Amino acid sequence: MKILIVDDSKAMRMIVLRHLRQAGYGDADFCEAANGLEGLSQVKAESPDLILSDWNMPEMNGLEFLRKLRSDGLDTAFGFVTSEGTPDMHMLARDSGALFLIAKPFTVDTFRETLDAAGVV
Amino acid sequence: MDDPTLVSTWLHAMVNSAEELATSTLGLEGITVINEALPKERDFPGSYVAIVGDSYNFEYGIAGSWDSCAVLARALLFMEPEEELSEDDLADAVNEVINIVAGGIKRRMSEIDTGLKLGLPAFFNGTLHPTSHQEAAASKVDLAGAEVYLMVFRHRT
Repeated sequence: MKILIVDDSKAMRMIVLRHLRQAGYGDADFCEAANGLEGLSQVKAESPDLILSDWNMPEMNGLEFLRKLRSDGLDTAFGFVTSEGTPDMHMLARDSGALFLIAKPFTVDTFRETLDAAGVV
Repeated sequence: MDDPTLVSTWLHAMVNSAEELATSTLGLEGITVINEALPKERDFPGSYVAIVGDSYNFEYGIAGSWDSCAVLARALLFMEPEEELSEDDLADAVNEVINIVAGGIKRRMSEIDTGLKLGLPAFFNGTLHPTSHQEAAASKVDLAGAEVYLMVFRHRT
């Protein structure tokens, strides 16, 4: 399994990676991008099975990234990991094609339970 | 819900959000509020983010000494004290702290102002003063062993 982590914060990419490994995804391959534009390039280059993306990013934000993927016909499993955790944002994420939204701050259990519930293997 | 017209209500939302960060991602028991006062120190590094709504506009910040910011960054990054921490990584980590805390503030206060939007965090080193168009409140807290100020500046309407 290959997981693409998209966040403009190198620190947060590191934290997400650590939490994924502790949640049982240590055998996965990981790649990273710093914004939606870089994420699009990585999707084409790496063909990830799952994308975990921040919402608020410069250049291209997470929602624009997701919408661009879907408009290009790419149905890669997509989840947000973001500080945007209001019910409106959850709804907007799902309506735009995201499987889930993990709000910061999170725990290892949050990742394990959310990815399990979303059927991400 | 406390009175949203009071800036202290928005500071309490920030302290509660920082507490949530401490007890979840950082795996701590909580934070300790040391006192409520704006910092007097000069050349304090810190991270700031705008939260703009239909009725309220804020700048939220977290600031402390370089040493305190390094302690906080190491806690977020799960780094050992002897591991090297670059200034860029320190700034990135403290930016992420204020980003997470701001998200918690928005979540807590979205019933008061449904139009709240988060900006992108920015790190800088300097001295903070509210302008004549702002009112401010701050708490000095111990967060993950780092003594830092949690601050809110609200634009008067």
